[in-house]
Amino acid sequence: MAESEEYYDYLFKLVLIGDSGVGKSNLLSRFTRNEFLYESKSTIGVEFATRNLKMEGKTVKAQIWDTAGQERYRAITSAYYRGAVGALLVFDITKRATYDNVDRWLKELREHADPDIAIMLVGNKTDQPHLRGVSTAEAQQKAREAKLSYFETSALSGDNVEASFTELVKEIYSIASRAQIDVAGSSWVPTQFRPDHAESVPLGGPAKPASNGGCC
Amino acid sequence: MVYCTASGRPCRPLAGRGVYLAARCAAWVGTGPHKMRLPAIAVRGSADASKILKMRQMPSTPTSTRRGSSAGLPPTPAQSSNHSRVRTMFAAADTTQIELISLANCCWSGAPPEFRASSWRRLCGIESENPALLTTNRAAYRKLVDKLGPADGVASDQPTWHQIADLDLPRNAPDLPGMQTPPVRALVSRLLYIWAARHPACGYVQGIMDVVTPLVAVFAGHRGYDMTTGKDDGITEDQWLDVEADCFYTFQAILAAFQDAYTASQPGIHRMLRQLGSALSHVCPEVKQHMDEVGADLLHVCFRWMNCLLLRELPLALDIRLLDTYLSELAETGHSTLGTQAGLPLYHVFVCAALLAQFSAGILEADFQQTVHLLQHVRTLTDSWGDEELAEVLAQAHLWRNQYWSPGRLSD
Repeated sequence: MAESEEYYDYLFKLVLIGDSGVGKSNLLSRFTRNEFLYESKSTIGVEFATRNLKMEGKTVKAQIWDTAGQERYRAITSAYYRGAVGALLVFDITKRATYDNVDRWLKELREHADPDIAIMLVGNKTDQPHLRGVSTAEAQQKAREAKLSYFETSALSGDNVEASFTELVKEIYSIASRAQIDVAGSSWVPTQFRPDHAESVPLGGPAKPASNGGCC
Repeated sequence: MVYCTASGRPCRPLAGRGVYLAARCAAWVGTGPHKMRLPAIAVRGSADASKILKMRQMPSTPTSTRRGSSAGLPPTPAQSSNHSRVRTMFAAADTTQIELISLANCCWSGAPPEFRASSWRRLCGIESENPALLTTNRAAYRKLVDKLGPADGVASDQPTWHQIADLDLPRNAPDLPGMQTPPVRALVSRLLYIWAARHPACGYVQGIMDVVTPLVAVFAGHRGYDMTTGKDDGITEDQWLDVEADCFYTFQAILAAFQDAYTASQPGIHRMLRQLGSALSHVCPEVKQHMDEVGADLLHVCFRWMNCLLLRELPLALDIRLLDTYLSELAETGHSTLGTQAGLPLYHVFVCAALLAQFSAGILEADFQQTVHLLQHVRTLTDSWGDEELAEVLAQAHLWRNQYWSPGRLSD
């Protein structure tokens, strides 16, 4: 891990959810490492990666948890929602069934995640337009009804991947700054990872580097 | 009787294993019967696990010979004597019955490559000195294929077939071309589909596909199949079916011991994770405490270790070596599906604990994120392991299990 990666002002925990095979792991590897693997093994349990983003001069560490999509893992993946402030709900635009399951995933989030969690609907695999099974208009309509933002991405080409993650982080950042709440403190993270152990640090307040030194 | 020189307790008088353990015990200066110190494996002051690994390279074996197929791994001295015992057993099999328990004792520390396929079949109980047993089992599997397998490529349970054949199979073992050839893809998908149909409480669960890979490597490899290239040396369709049958029954025997790890809500995995936490607080309290402090939950870092039986965390050659021990454990503790409390799953818990102990110095230096990263990418470290490193983990796990486990002692 690069040293500069260790310094941050805020830590946002995000979760990647959605049916098996929609490309969650590749969205994550594209966003955090700019990599795409045609054959990445199925995710078992949870895997995670981080990336720092700049927001209004502050460093926000996006800690993204990639979960297993298969139904059998639902019981444990819901445990990973704890403390998440954002969720990317991914479906495959070429597989209708993965879109039809979006409602089930939303229900899942309502039951297990924080009620204020920011959710973004993501239609992945736009690199296969000839196989499209879900129209943009239809997905946008669903997103509007559920009050979600909607992005279409291609983890393969990298199209819109950066934009979607950044938009979600920006959304959380702006909600947090409007509400003047301590986002990092409300996020479930190990104590020493919270800026200043985050009892009630107002947003924009003094930030403390990560426990082991940070950039200075 | 072999005694552990550190604890003064008798080691199990298993040929090879007992001697090996006694030697290991002598090397580790114990600080009391319940506080056996870990071998000094790590460089303190560094969170870089690859450095830890460099310290653990055995100088006697060049790194280049540690990779590749299991056949390419040179046997350790302790293994050599067991290998020759197994060879003697099979050479005399016509006149002298092979005792299952003796075979398990020897194979526990690694089966000789040329008798591995036969040894595994015997340890699973599908082969014996009576050749009719294996023939009957293989014929029975063909009946299962007719009855439950997808007919002309059409499966009755489409969602399961879709998950196996369309979603998971193409991304199975991407580093092994031998797992992606048409006969092997057909074998893997059908085997899993039939197993799922016969075990409706589990069904197909992602991750169990990983268990099939070392089985294919051994049973097809025994017929000359090359996992690294996918060249099949003229294996006939009928022979592929025999391979599939052997893989199926071995797979079934392994998963029977872990069945509740794959049922709804996966209670077996949660139990094993609780036991791992409990075991760690006995054998490596500082690691447990540190992980608790930084918030690295075992559910985050070790779920896959349980779900895929560590097979994703090791290179193929060591997966095979691990299964030598696991199948021997199964033969020793019995194949009962009720054995989940104290049989192979408990041993697996201690193997996970011993593996965590291997990385203890790295963990103790790491914060939350580094701990999760380290333990989710153990494979980058174990890729350069040889038999010696794994043998040490397995022996340590055996020792700890005998030392620390008694009914009710670990929280269930």
